[in-house]
Amino acid sequence: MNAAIGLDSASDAPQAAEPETGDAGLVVRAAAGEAGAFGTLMARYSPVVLGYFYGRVRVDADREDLLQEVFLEAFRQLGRLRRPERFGPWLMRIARSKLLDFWRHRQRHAGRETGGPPEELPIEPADPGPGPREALAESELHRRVRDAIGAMGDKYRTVLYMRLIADQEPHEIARRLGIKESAARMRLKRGLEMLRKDLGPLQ
Amino acid sequence: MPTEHDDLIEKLKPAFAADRQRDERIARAAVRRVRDKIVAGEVAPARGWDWGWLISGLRPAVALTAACALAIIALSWFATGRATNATSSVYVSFAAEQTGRGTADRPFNSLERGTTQVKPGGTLNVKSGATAQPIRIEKPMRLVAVDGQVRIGKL
Repeated sequence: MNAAIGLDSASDAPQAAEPETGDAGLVVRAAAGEAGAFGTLMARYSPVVLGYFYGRVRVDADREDLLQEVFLEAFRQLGRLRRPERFGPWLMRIARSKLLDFWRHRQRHAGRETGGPPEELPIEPADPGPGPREALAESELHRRVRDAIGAMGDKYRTVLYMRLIADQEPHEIARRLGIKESAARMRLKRGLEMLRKDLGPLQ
Repeated sequence: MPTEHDDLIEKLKPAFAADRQRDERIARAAVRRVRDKIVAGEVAPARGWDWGWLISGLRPAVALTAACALAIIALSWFATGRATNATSSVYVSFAAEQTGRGTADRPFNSLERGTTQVKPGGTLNVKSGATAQPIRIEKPMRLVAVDGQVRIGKL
């Protein structure tokens, strides 16, 4: 998932890894209209944004729509980003805003039936769940871990997703989130401690 | 650098292989859709200062300031007795504090406020004392000196 998916590439298949260019340079090039630079940014940050949505939005189509909305908004606003080196945290603010919009939209429709005011960023209550075939395949462990991670705060949820699911190393996580590697390791450690506590002894 | 939770990570990773594949598919699809929109010119970077983001950022601060201002106005309104409803029996003492509410223990400090607040046909109870302020009565009411002589007008 971390491979560069260039906008100028004819294929959607991951390209060969290239020496990593700094986000700031890519942002400047993308804002100047270089579509490939933005493609690289999207490929880098898809796991971060999907990690943010993990456990909160469980319908694949919704997550895909939200991811697309986040990147489209980022592209529109790119020229207004004052500190290109802070692209990651800036993108997460957009993701948060889009998720809130998503939930407000959901609650406007669901509220007519439930009546109650929405909590901020709730875990998706109307999860239709996996289909019968997926339900069979989904292990109990997977379900418990997914629910536990989904119930965690943003900073732990995103880091755990990036480590466990996107298979990223702490230094990569730190770079994407705009934090120090020591902070990423600490979040990961605390998140895993919470997860271990939630899960109890594993076989 | 090995950590104390590496064993947990290794145990959990296989459980998420399907998630990983599914999310890679989602990411590819979303990136493709964004790419298509950019290439088709349906979306372009905006230029200039982003007032919308500034406004949305300020919105909570503005709402909080407005709420505080309203609370202060309401408190001062009550504190000065302005919100006291017209009542049939109102008390005035020229020596009272400005924060009076027209009651016997917290009387108004001016005849003007007393006559304004008393109901038509009600009683304006004036505590003993003297005031140079004139009195203007525009509705029927009883004027009572409750505990001694009251002098109104030129002293």
